[in-house]
Amino acid sequence: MSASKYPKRADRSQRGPGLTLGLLLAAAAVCLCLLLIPSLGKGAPAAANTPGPAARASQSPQVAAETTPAAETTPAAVETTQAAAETPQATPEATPAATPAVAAFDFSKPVPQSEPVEMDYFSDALFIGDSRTDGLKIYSTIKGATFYCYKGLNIFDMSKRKVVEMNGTTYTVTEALAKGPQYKKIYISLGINELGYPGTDSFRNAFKTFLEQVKAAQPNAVIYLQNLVPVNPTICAQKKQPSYVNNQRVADFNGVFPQLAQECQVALLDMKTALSDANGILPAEATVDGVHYTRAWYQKWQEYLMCHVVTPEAYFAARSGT
Amino acid sequence: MKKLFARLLPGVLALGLLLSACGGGGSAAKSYDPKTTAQALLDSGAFSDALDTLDADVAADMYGIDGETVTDCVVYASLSMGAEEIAVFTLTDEAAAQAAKTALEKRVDDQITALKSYMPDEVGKLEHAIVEQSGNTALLVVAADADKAQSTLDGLN
Repeated sequence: MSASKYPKRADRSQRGPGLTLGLLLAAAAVCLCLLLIPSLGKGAPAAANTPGPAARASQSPQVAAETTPAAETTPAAVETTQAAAETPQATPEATPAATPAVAAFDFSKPVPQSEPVEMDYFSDALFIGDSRTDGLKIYSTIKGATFYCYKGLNIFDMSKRKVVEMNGTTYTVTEALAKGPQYKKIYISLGINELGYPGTDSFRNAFKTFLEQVKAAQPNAVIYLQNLVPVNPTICAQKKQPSYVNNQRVADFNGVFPQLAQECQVALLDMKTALSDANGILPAEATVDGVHYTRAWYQKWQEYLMCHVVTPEAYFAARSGT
Repeated sequence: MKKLFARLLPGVLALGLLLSACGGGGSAAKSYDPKTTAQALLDSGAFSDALDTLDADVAADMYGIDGETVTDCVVYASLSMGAEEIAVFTLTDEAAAQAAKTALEKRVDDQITALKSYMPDEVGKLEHAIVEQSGNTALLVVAADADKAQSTLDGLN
């Protein structure tokens, strides 16, 4: 028996160093794991916080409109999921980081002031408007934008009057929106030529129809609706502008724009406040005919646009939220 | 034969020189300096509207003139979006100036179309628009008093 024990002892003594080494290695592995686990836990949010492909992808309106599926397919989102699988502690933190909450724009209020954008912001912008927008085109310093503007253009012309020239052919504005390039921002300024129409119902209905057409034709664009800048009554009288070109009619029409912005879910720009004086009129120094602006005022208009911007994320989050 | 040739040669050379001098002198005399021409027109009193300058690239785009061919220009347009306008272009060569003239003529037609319902009183000014090409320059003048504008241009030449 004892003899039988010796060999066992002998075996133990022979295995002893190997077993000890194994135990030491196992202990080292446990220590290593204990050291690594906290850093693995931190890994997931760190990756999600980097402004990488996910952040860039979410700048695209299409992506922003479908936040959750897009986030699942972006590389950063995949990385986050893998990290979360390795460390259960990371899961609750990683999920919200992959789909950051976007403050949705409020269509019931005008666009608030924002950080000024650079000039290349306008490279994918389209301006639709009448002679005032024509003035913005030639007297501002906006570069790279496209203008579908025309003297005397009004909301009732959008599907009737061929005023947009593309590749040697002339189109109506709605045709050009459907057949021409896709834009990321569309600024609309119309109304001064419609002041002579009775009431505001026909204007409102035609504008609503047009805004729905713009949205359908340009689904990825942030649409900005600009309200009407008042006129200068004294200079209008001097220059014999038609009697209906007056600030009471401008005020009537300006009552329509907030309704349109909310109903059609487009961003309202309060140009009326931006370009009128303390008396609520277009100042004399800003106009030579009571209606159109001087160069300085067109540039003031441009400056306002450049610091009143809605991000596509906020815009489309607001749209998808209803 | 050699004697005849020797006698005719000076005459042929003199005729050649005379013809080339006439051609060159005429072209140089009709060239419009953008700054001088625009200022003379502004000072002439031929305009009733308030005008302001346009940047060269904006002007080229507005008229549909290839900006690469424009070496100098001065353009004034109406601040009330009316018809009155001054555009004087210096271009890289005569062919470019001819193309610019065609573009300026199209501008007049387009403005007539745009303004006939919007500002019908302005159409008369466009019907008396002055569009010229001389050498490597091209100009458009739409004034309230076209005769006064034309005599100003004649005075420059």
